[in-house]
Amino acid sequence: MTALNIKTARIWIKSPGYTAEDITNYVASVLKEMRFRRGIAVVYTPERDCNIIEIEYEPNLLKDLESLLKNSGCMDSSICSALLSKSIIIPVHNGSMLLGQFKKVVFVDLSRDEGLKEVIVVGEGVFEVS
Amino acid sequence: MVKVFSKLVEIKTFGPMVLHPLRNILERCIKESDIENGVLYASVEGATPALVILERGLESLFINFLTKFIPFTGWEHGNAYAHLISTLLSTNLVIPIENYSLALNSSTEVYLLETRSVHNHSRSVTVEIHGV
Repeated sequence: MTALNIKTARIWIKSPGYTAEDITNYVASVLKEMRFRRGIAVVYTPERDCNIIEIEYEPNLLKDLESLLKNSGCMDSSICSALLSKSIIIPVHNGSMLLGQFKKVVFVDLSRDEGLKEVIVVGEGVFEVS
Repeated sequence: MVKVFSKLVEIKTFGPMVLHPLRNILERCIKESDIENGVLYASVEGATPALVILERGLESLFINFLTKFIPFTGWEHGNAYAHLISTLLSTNLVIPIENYSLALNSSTEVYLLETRSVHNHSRSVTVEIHGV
C-alpha cells in the first residue's frame, strides 16, 4: 500500500474532422514522461462530437462500428457521440498499461470539423520519485 | 494519506454471451485493501469481454437485447459482434466505496460478460482501490 498522487497531461490530435485514430502509443509516452508506475490512467476528450473508445484497431472492424452507428440513426442527429465513451480508464502496473493483445485506445472524431483536438490524460496512483 | 491497492484476479469463463458474477470477488478485494472510503476501479483485459452492472433477474432479457442490437453475423470483421459489444458496454467500471462496501443496491450484480465461444477461458480483471 502506497500514497496516491495525481498528474495531468495533454495530447493534441491533428484531426481531419472525421476519423478514428489509434492513440495508444501517445498515451503510453505521456505516462512514461510522468514516471507513472501503478494505478489508473484516465483518458478523456472534452471536444465536441469526439470520443475515446477501446477497440481493436482494424479497418474492417472500424467499418463495422461505423455501420452500427449509421444503422442506429444517430449519425443524422449528431447524437452518436453520446453513445460512445468520452473517457476510459486503463489500469497501469509496473509502468505498463494492461490492455491485452488487441485492445487499443482510439480517438474518434465525428464532428466534421478539422483541427487540433484535445485529449487529457490523468495518472492517479503511484509515481517514481525523481 | 490516500492509499493505492492493486490486485489482478483471474476469472475462468465460458461463452458465448455468458455473464459471470464478480461482486463477491470485488467485495473481498475491499476487505483485503482495508480501505473504508474511496473508489474501486475494475478493468478486464482484452478487446472482446465487457463489465456491466445489472439488476439480478434481468440477465436473459439483457443478453437477448444485446444479441438483437448487435447480431453475431453480418459484419466485415470476423468476430465483430464481440468487439462492438465490448466497446459499447466498456471493459471498465468505476464504483464508489462507502464504509467498506460497494455503493450498489443489494439486488445489483457486477458481471463479466464473456462474448466469445470459449470454454474454461482465462480473463484477467484488474481491481484498483484508491481511498482512505
